[in-house]
Amino acid sequence: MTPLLMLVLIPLLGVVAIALRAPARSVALAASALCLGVVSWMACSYNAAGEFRWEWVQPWFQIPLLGSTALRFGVDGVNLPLLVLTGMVSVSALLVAPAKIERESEYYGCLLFVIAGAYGAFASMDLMCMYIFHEFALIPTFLLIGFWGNGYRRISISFQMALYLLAGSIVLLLGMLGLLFSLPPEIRTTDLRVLQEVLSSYPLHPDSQGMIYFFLLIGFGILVGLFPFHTWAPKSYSAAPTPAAMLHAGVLKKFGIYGLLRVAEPFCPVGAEEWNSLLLMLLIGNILFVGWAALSQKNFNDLLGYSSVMHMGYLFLGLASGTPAALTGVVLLSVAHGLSVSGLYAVQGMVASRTGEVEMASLGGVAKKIPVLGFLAVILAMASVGLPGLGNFAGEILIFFGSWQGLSAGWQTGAMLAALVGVVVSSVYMLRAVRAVFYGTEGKARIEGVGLSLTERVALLIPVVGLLVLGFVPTLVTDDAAASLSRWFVW
Amino acid sequence: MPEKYWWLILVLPLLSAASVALVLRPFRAVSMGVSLLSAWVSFAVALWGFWSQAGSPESVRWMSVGGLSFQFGLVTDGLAKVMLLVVTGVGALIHLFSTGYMSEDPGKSRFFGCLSLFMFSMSGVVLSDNLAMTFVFWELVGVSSYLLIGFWFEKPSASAAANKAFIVNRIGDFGFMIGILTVWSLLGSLNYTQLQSFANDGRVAAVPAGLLTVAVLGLFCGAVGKSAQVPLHVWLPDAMEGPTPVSALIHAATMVAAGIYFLCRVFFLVELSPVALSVIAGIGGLTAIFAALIATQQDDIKRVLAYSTLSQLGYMVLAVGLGSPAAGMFHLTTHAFFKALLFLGAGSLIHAAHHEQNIWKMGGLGKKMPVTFVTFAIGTLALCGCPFLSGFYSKDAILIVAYETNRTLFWVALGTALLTSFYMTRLFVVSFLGEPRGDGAAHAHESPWAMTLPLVVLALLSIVGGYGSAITGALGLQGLPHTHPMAAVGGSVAVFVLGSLAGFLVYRGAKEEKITFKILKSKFYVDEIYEVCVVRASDAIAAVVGWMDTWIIGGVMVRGVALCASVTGQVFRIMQAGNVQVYAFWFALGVAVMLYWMMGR
Repeated sequence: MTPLLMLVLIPLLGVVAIALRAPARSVALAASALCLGVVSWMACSYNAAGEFRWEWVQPWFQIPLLGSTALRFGVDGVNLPLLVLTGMVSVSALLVAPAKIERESEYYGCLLFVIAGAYGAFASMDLMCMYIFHEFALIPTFLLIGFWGNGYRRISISFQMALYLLAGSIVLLLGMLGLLFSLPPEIRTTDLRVLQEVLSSYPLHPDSQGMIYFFLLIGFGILVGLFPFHTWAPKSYSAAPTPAAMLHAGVLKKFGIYGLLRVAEPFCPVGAEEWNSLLLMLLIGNILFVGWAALSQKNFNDLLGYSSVMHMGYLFLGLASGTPAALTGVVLLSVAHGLSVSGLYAVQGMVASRTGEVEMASLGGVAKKIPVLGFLAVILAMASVGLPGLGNFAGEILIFFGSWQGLSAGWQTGAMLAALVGVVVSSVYMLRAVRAVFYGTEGKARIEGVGLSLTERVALLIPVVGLLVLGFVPTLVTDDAAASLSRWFVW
Repeated sequence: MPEKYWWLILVLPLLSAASVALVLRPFRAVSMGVSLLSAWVSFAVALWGFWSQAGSPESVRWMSVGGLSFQFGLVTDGLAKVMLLVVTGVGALIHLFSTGYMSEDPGKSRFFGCLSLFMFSMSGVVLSDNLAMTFVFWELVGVSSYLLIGFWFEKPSASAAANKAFIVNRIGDFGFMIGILTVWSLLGSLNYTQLQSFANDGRVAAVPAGLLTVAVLGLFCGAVGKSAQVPLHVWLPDAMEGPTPVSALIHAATMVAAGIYFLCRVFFLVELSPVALSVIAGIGGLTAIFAALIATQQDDIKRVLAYSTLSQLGYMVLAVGLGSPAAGMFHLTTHAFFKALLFLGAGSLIHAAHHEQNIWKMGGLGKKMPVTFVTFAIGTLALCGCPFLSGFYSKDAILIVAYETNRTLFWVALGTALLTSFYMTRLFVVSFLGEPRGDGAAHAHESPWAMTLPLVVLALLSIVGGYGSAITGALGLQGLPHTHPMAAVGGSVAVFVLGSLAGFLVYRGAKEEKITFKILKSKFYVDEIYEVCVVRASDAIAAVVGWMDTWIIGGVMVRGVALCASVTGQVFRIMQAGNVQVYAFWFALGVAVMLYWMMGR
């Protein structure tokens, strides 16, 4: 049995155990820790210089006209880092999850479903299979927001998010079907590796590429929060319980980026070229429009949501430029951003649980009361604004250099400048937030309780240590990612 | 010295910072000791490397993708060695001073941890052998400065100043990054040695002049931010919210000098763009006179020194812009000695006078604090350009260069020198002479040896630093003047005498401000103008954008999706009529479509 299958099965077995009345929190933690162990072992023993490893196929079901869909698993330097990200964020999220909560079994069951789906989506090397796993992870996210979320509007927000993301998924599905139906029936397959081989030697007709790429771009784009399809994200994250926000913003959202990197860009290069200006325009919206919208936020939770949408603009910039350095930067930044944003949501959750407040104007003085929290929060905030020494910077600088390499006049220069302006904007809103929440003296909201518990410390140390390691030794991700990308793309 | 020992200068402070952050924080004395030790050992290594002429160690790969490679290597030429001595030497003295100054502070561990982080970053800026690594450490210097300015983060003014410093520096770094990217795309390399060879073999000259100017001005933007030149100077005076040793180390002697050092490092590029050179000289001259004017009317001892620093930094930038990086670096070195001395002296005063910073509430401190008094006097004289002290020689070098190349800027520089003598004399007379005018001053007493010893050492350096042909010779830079035109030297002595005499006569025995210029007192209203034109404007845009995002984009999209959903619902409702014949019809249609798909192709 491949370790990749274990990654999906362990959380599902956890769900079964919870259904059989095992203590939910402990089971969930054990399952996620076990998965993290497996995935870390894989990362340490990968050593295949960009080749695929641990491939495994199990025929699944037959769809007329589409050929057989199979559980096809495999990893290379592109999705392995994302699997490690999933492992780290899921353990951190479960550590943050409250020990006492209503309907505990269902709550932890939903979280485990999300985790299993996320692992499956990133481990799959089959078009349908990765789509299904992603949907599989989305549905419990809606439930988590609706049942255990914050605020009286959580149910309507959860419905909105569901509608929005399902609409995105449908667009995406259309794009995928379009891709498959443009292939002659005798070679039609959902196997990504076969598709890659076929399409790199026999590219699709440019017209169909344009059409397919558009659908894939919008479909995956909606899942990531591509401007102007981003408004679901800040609202949903504010309403979501902390672990759900961490898992969705940190991990699941990266699925859209991964899909563009794995499917849309390499399979429809001509289409990507055709829609390049559109993507560049939209990502300027992500960086500048959403960045400025973030400046106006008064609520710490909303601010993090906007910030996370804004930073997607940098990933889109990397995708839009398409040079080896930029695409490698996309992989690295996806991981680093996942760690930093999930860490920040964890911090937010810890602040909110001690003060019962999310309005920045009423907060303050947390660093004085709980110095450790202040210290870790400042590191995470600095990671998110791209400070050297932390992972996000390494990813961003690869994207900047990579984009500058393929720089041409017009929208590309505009997007590049927007990205550099965005670095300033993001430090403005992030430092303002840090100042409002952590510095100064205690605000209107009193800070209850004492320092961080051991579980909370570990939950924050996971992303912080990960970001430091990536900042100092980015080659851990970039070497294999670059090697795999050079096999996957035809440059 | 074995070459690999150079790494110690980076590794030791980093280890010190990391160990304080991870384990030593509860043990305040140990944290302090570790940090102090790391600073002094770094200094020893820098000295050793300087004498033994050790070369550069092999570089380390940080990250590479395809043809793009980020290496981390060290440059150890004369320029770097001299700068490194200044940074680690002044740094080590200030560490020692801080053990006295911060002895009572509950956050002592954090303070020394941040100080070590700063030493790591600053040494990194000096030693980096390529643009990317310079940028990395540049940003790290920025963050250590942010942490130290906001050290007393409970104070709203301190955290505001920290944010301001970081953000203004980031605005400069926006240009810096464009500069780096442009250099890279034009010349295909980031490494200084390689770029230098491209400049020598004419490859740089072949680049379109406009693009080269963009590149150089971009790089200069970074220096404008870090060295607080007009129009990005606003963060430095506010940075005085940090503890005084920090002001001495970071905001006078080392970090703010990083911009000058960097300009000298890439001078081989800068000098090839005449446009950029004149912009640099202009900005430098403007900053020098602008800040000196403001300094004459400030009442907070640290703010006077901060504006004086701005003004002197302007001098250095001016020297670089006039084609003489050697003069700029010379002044940087002597300035590091006497400005650190002045700030530490001010710290000693503030410490003694129970955190009183207003010079009008001091007075009469000369008798109570003899060591501080004498050393501060030496620092003041050196800064004013008193003959035979260090400041005289370095300032003269710049004045002579200006005299020989650009007469307008020469008069600006001379005017600045006049103002400098005036405001420093004012500061000295008001705070040290006369009678005590406040409670703090009345009960002041001399500081402990940990604080006075650095003052004495720095005072000695401020005296002899100017005879440092060792310094200028070791730099290996061009542009130090060899002639000594009477007009420049005589003018410099004349303005020193005139300025100090005027300051002394006006403020002798004064109990309150004698001359008032509202516009100078309010710093030309730059902060207010920025507040309205930049901060408020951006916040207004943000409010509009935020509203549009929620109500227009959010509204339309969500409504749109909801509409789609209800329309599809309607369609499915028609299909789901509950009538078997209708179902059969849809089924048949579906089969027909599928058959068409399969057969028709």
